[in-house]
Amino acid sequence: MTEFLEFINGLLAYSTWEKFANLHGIFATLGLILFGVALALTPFYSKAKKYLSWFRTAVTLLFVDLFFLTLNGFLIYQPYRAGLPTSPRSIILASDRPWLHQIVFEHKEFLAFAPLLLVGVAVFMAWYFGDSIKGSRFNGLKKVIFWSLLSALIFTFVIAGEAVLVTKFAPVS
Amino acid sequence: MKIRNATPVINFLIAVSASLNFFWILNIVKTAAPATKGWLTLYAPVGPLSGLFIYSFLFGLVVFAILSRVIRSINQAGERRAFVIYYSSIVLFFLMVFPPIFETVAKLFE
Repeated sequence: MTEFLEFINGLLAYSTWEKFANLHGIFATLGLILFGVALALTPFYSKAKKYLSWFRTAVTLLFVDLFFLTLNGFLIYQPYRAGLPTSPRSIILASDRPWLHQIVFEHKEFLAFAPLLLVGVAVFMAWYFGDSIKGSRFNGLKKVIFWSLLSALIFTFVIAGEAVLVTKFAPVS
Repeated sequence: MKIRNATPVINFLIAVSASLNFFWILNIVKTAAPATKGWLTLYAPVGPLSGLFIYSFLFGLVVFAILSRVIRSINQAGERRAFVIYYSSIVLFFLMVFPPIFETVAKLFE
């Protein structure tokens, strides 16, 4: 019990921005799990209504997760770019690795625009077509769902990798 | 089971492509002409990134609304063209938001 209380006190001791930064990581991890579920269901959603229902749930949850991930990203971007000498951006720009902000972080912040839209395509198609997405007439459209999810996942991997590079050097606090 | 018309989905793909392309073009404009940073800053603590995201998203919505009114049906050749535009836009977006690339392009317009 004492250890548990220490754990709770430890969590509460994080600053507000650190809590948001941790939440950002949780949303990102949940997103990767949901990407896995959605992609694993892609070959099956046109085979049975049950799988279509699972697929719709997975992509919709993924979309909601990415929405909150992006929103949370905007929140913690504020302390990151604050005009203080102690903000992560100021620390990086004053260090011997300014490219961590100028290339890595800038690429990450711009790339973050795409996954929500690409998953939005999969969500729109899954709900719009329903169980009518069968037969060769829909092959091209089914490929669009798969490639939208896969490219959004690749973008998310790149964003996550770049985030790790930056936050390991100068975390938000 | 009702077979649905694919046209709204094709319009959606074109709108998403337009939004992605608008984003990187606007980003180049922002880099080449720093004066644009002022009207891109919709929320000061986030800076011009707020405008980049919101204007690009709104641009996609407007394109979708216009296409939904203008294009009511599309043939398979049109569908294939939309797929090519969509896939190319994803690849182009990935490359054009990479700072060494968009900064080089922006320098051409300075």
